[in-house]
Amino acid sequence: MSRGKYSNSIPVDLIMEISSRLPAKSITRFCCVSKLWSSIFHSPYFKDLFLTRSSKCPRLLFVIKETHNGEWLFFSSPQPHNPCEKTSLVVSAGFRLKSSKEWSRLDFCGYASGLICFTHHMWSDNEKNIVNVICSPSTAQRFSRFDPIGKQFKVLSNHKILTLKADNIEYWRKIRYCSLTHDPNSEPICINGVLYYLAQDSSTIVCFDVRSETYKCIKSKGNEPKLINYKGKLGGVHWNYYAYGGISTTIELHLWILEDEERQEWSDYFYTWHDNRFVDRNDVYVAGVTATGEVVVSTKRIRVPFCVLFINPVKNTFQSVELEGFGDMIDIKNNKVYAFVDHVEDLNFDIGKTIYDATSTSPPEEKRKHKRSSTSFEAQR
Amino acid sequence: MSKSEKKIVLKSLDNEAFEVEKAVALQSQTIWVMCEDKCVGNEIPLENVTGQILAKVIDYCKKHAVVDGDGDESSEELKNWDTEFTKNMDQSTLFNMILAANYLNIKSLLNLTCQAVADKTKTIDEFHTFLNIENNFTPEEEAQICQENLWAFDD
Repeated sequence: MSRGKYSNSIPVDLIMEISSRLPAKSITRFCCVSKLWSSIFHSPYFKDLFLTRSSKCPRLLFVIKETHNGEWLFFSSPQPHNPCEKTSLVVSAGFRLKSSKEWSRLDFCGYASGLICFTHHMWSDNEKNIVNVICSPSTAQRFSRFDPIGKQFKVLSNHKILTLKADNIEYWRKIRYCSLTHDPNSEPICINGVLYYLAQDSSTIVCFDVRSETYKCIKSKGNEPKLINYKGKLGGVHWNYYAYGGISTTIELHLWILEDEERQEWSDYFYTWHDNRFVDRNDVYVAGVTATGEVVVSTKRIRVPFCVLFINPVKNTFQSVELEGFGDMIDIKNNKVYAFVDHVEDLNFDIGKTIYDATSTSPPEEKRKHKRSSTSFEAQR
Repeated sequence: MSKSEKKIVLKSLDNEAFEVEKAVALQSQTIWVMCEDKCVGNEIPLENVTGQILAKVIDYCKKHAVVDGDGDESSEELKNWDTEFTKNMDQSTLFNMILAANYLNIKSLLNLTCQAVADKTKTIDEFHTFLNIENNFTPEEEAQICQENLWAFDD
């Protein structure tokens, strides 16, 4: 087939239509075909078109740490619309975040709006500092800068907040302290601009409104639940295990849904099964809930075969789906996996080539107070 | 409605005539608008679409006119049919289908065919096949871009 065979007949807007359906990785690769297409792919119009398309096909995201060398790998797979009809999915490899001189060890901190926040502990002058590194799995960019007007990112750390906006990064600001002394005891989740996390006693959920920067507390349900976003409502998932004579085990997956935040009314659903083949209590990770209400459960380590469970306590359905394609890229023995549902690929963060880190903006006098590592990450869109 | 009003004739660029149910043809927004405006008779000339391509478009519209509106099971069946429909089309047919879907304004067909091309476009050379532009990066510039985005080239 000769180059440009269809060029006279296919208008640019149709090529953009086609391109908006490519994986983000291909877009990154195709930026080198010409200056024109590089600039088209970097244009806000194309990025918005791409986001519109990719929002319709959310993916499962797997962020994997190789524990022996501290490197991070990104994989994603299609997310089945109806998991009951799928028994296997193929993952595609993203990029590998290699450790460098600057960042020898990055720790996972949080996930929001398709972005991953890592923390890096740095020692200088016998003082431990924490660097926040924000990373886009779609474009492989590490940054703390974000362009579109009015949209900004905020990083919350030890009652101090960092706002990330176009062209400049604000200094860490102290925010009004919450009356309750708390340290986040769970991965925070974000629903409609409110950040939820469990306080240290696990019986209180702290709600932090990112826009108004105010705190609120609500009573939690269940035993150390994992907080989840259930169709836009706050939810919690926890496990109950009942062993009978050491042979048979009953496992219950409880799903709490906060129906009324003012009156703190929760509804409770659970799925029960009597086979512990699938779930070892020390080895499960609740990735989240899909738009159709399936609780997605992964193991904490990639092994062969690697299965993800789709459990719907409301409809009482259970499906185990095998993920293929990790291949030789992962050290099967030494890894740790973080899985996420409804991941939407987004090109919007590929703006600057410069890599920034957020600590460079910390006022010097604040540095001493950064010793503890309770950092939450939230993206406000 | 009399029998003749239910049927409509679509005439391709190369003068091939296709008699189809109106419900089938009206999935095209372009034809729908023409019929609404009563600016055409029972025969609609489609000057941008060849008979070969129009036949395929009509196949698609027939399938979707019958099944649309049914339950989940048939929507799954329809999805499989769509996959089979585009699976064996070569690049040239797919591009002509995209152009026809765009001209006739059939959103679901445009979506299907664009997705099919996207799924088949993996390498830079494949992407070049439908671009009318020469690569105007200098080899150095190209190498630099590749270097910056090495991760995207590794499969």
